[in-house]
Amino acid sequence: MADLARRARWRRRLSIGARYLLLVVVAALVLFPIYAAVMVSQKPLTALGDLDVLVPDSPDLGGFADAFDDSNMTRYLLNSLIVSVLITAGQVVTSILAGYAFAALRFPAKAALFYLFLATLMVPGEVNIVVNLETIQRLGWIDSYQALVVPFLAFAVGTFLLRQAFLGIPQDLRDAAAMDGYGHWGFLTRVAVPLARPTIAGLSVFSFLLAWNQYLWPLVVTNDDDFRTVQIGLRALRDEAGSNLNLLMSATILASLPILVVLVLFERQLIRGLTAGSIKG
Amino acid sequence: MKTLTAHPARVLVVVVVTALALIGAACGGDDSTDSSPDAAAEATSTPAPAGDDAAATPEDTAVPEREDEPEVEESACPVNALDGADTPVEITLWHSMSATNGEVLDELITAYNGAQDLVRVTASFQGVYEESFEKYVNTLRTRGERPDVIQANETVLQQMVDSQSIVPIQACIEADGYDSSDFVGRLLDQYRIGEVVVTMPFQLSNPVLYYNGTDFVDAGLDPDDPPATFDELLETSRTLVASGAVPQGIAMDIDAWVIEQWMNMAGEALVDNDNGRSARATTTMLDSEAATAIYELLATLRDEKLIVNTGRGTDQSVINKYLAVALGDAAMTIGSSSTLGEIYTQIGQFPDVDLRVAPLPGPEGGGTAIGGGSLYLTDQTEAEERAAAWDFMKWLNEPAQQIRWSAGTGYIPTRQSAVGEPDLEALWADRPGFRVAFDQLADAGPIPGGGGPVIGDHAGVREAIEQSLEALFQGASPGDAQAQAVEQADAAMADYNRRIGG
Amino acid sequence: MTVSGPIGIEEARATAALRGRRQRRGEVALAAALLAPSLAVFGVFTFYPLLRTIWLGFFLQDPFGLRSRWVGLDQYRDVLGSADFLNSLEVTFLFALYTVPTSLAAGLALAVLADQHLPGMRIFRTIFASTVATSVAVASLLWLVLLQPSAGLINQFLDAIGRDPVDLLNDPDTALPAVAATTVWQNLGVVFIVTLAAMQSIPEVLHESAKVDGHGTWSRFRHITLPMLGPQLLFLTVVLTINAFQSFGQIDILTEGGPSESTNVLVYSLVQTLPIDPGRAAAQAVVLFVVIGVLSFVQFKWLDRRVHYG
Repeated sequence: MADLARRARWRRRLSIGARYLLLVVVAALVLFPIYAAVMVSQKPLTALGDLDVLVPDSPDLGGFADAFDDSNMTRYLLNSLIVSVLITAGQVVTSILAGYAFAALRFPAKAALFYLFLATLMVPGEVNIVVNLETIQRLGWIDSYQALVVPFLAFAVGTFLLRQAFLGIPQDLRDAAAMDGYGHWGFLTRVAVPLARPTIAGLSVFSFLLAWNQYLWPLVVTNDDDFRTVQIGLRALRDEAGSNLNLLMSATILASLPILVVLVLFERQLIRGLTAGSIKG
Repeated sequence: MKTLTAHPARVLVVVVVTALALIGAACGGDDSTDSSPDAAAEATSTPAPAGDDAAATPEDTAVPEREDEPEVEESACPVNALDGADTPVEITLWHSMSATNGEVLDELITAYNGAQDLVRVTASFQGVYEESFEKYVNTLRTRGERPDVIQANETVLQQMVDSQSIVPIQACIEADGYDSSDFVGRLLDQYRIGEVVVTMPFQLSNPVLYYNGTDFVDAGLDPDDPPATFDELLETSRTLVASGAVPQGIAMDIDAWVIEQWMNMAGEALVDNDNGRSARATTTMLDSEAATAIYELLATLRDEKLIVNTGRGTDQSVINKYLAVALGDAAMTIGSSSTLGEIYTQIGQFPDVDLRVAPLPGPEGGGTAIGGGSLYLTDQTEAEERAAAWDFMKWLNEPAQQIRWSAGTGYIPTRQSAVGEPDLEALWADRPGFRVAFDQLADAGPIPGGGGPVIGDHAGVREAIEQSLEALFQGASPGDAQAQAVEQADAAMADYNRRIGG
Repeated sequence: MTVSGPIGIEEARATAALRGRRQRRGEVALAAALLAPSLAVFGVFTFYPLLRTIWLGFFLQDPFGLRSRWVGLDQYRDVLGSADFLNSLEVTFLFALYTVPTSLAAGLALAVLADQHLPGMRIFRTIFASTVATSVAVASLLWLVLLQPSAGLINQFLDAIGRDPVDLLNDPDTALPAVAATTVWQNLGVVFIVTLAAMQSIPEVLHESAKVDGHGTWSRFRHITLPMLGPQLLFLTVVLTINAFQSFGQIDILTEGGPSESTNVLVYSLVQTLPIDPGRAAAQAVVLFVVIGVLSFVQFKWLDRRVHYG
């Protein structure tokens, strides 16, 4: 008996060990490009022609300092932060409003309008760049935060997710709120939005990531270095750094750090929000 | 923002009305020419026909006459407008100088801003030449705010004229009585359409051969005797590889500029109408004998596995060819002299590399054309801004600045009188590589049309050449690659000319 | 009573209808107000440009906005018939084919791995999700360290085991798969997060009862997990496909469309054409829109029928 139990325990330990081994190997594979970049960022150019570059050395943070000195990196990061926060806030608000309308109100052409919203997902921003650039020029918004933010203040995915979340609120609650004399606005602000908090949190993280990663649009509507976002800054740095692969990698790592922090801090919200929004299908 | 959100209905109305209007117009409009979908293009001022101010033009210009040369009006460049202006006058410059070259340009601008109180220059890096020019064109089309001065490479000369958005520098030269005779040979001719100098020189370069002397010694070759002709280039590559000194003889990226320069060196035009200088170019000579020699050289290097091709068009492809030499994958590469400054900032990291520079090996009979690029004065500016820009551009071309510029970057000084200045002599004595491109250009023989090709869609022609080289490196025969290049380049030119209505 | 009854009901109905209509009108006004911000933004920056782009496609234009000529459908016909466009279309489809199923499968595998109750799992989850933190620019630049021909680690590795070096980004046969690899890597995080979230919300009892019925791990995955993930996988498929069709940054940084146009996806080609030939770029944009629209629609319809909504 004791022998059997011990063997079972051993088998479990072995299986746990194997599972950890698999996890570690897979994690190493996923992280490898980042690891390699960190190593390269620490080494002089001559070290590049060799696999030894992967061996950690005494860390030399000079590359990071250079990345800050040689470029407008601080400014780029700040711009990306401002733009991403504004877009996120804007998208959350407009999505709550539109999502509620689609979930709780009756109005003509509702289905058609909803499809119109969803259709925006099928229009690639790149398609519209020809004309949107014109619009931005006409508004005099080149090199401004408006140009980077305003075109993204509505988001069909957000509207969709919040509609789902609002639809998931039990009818009883709505009836109870009506008895308490809440109109739509009161119900939305005091009941629906607090209940949809997980979805809103998830949407916020999602919007933030998308905004942070914008590439083509900021490239087109900014000429002034002071309004460039970190992605565009990186792109420019690719040219400016020339053959300085270590400098380039330092900057690349720096550019992804803030977002990594956001991820580590808010991973749970992101997962919960997406689950809450989409699971009800 | 407020107005946007406040009037959704109005927006919808606008959308619907626009759609209806478009449909209506679509039905009505048949073949009306020049019916712009935008507001009618702003009429450009029609200056009086160019007078007989030939005095400012050197007598011996080799550039042929051209009927559609841009018109010049001295009043377009009010060079004295800085007197009594509200100073400092602010002007903006879009440039494409990155890495070391960008730093040196920034230093020059800081020096200029510090040296006088009349003008303040704000410079911004707009990506490589192609990107910056694309941005300029997009801005122009959407009527946005353009810079006062934009730096561009030598390929956009015709397009800048066609864009009707610049002030030909000839206007400033004439208005200011500027003595342009000190510019190095054929420099201004490169930037002429007919007799009119369109743009102000600044960054002047030429392709050269870079090689690692250590590899030459290892292969039993004399590092002081680099290859000068196609045959020698081939032989040297063979020796380098056969000796085991390097896996490949030469690293090259796919760069149409070098092909063009080889055509120039052979004394052959790349395009018809005297290299596009007596009239708009309509066809390429990429099937000529001179071109065949180039394609066959590359095919031989390919067949004998003597060449590392680092690819086309990307910034990485340029970096990779230098890294290939630095890290021992090849002994030679061909690149612009304007990377010398950057190379010298990095070379210290590679103690095993004995970096040498030699003139571009190639055919005989002609000579390399002006490379690099220039500064364009845009026409949206006010009088004092044009005057300020002119002052700045003149300053940049003074020998002292050109020497500093050359020492930092490897660009060739634009002024003859720079030679003999102690700073330049010291540089050339210390780093002879910096002198190679200058001498190469000074020794260059004649080119049809007096300068490199002028093509409306020069970028399209380069694209065609580079695609044909890609095909070549994937195994196409020289003849097939050339035929492909001709077809594609001619189609690009025809398409551009059709849209310009030329 | 018998008389007044129906009248009473009628009256009640009438007032209810009146109140309903008033309420209805209030609801419509409220809906309009709530939808206004989104509609304004969509109207100005999505629908108006789309219509105007269609319009611009009818004009032959010079690059500078000076000369333009009505050519009707010619330009659309040119685009549809041109070898460049067909090549871009093929490249784009291939790119989607390389990236979408691979990203889904790899991300799902990570989620399965991470859906265990072991100590320290949070660290692994963060690592698996980490590529979400990279942008297109970051991911592409990071991969340069591997792909660079002279200094890149792939070639250093090949050299160490005595193989010839490769230049993956500079070979028309491998450039697109290499770019796709960077994209798959970057997609991992998103797919992982979404599928893991969905897996964790599958009620435990389903697995338990299946276990009791004697289903093994694979069988449970096949018959419970996968069907329950239907909506998420549908969502991801559509989103990743749209993303693949709109990819630009990785091409811009890694290959610029080459070599030999082997990575010249539709959007990259469009952006390249714009400053040279804006009319043609507009026509290209419209065709791109139609392609994406049709594709998303078909995908949605086809997959939707196979998805089980929990």
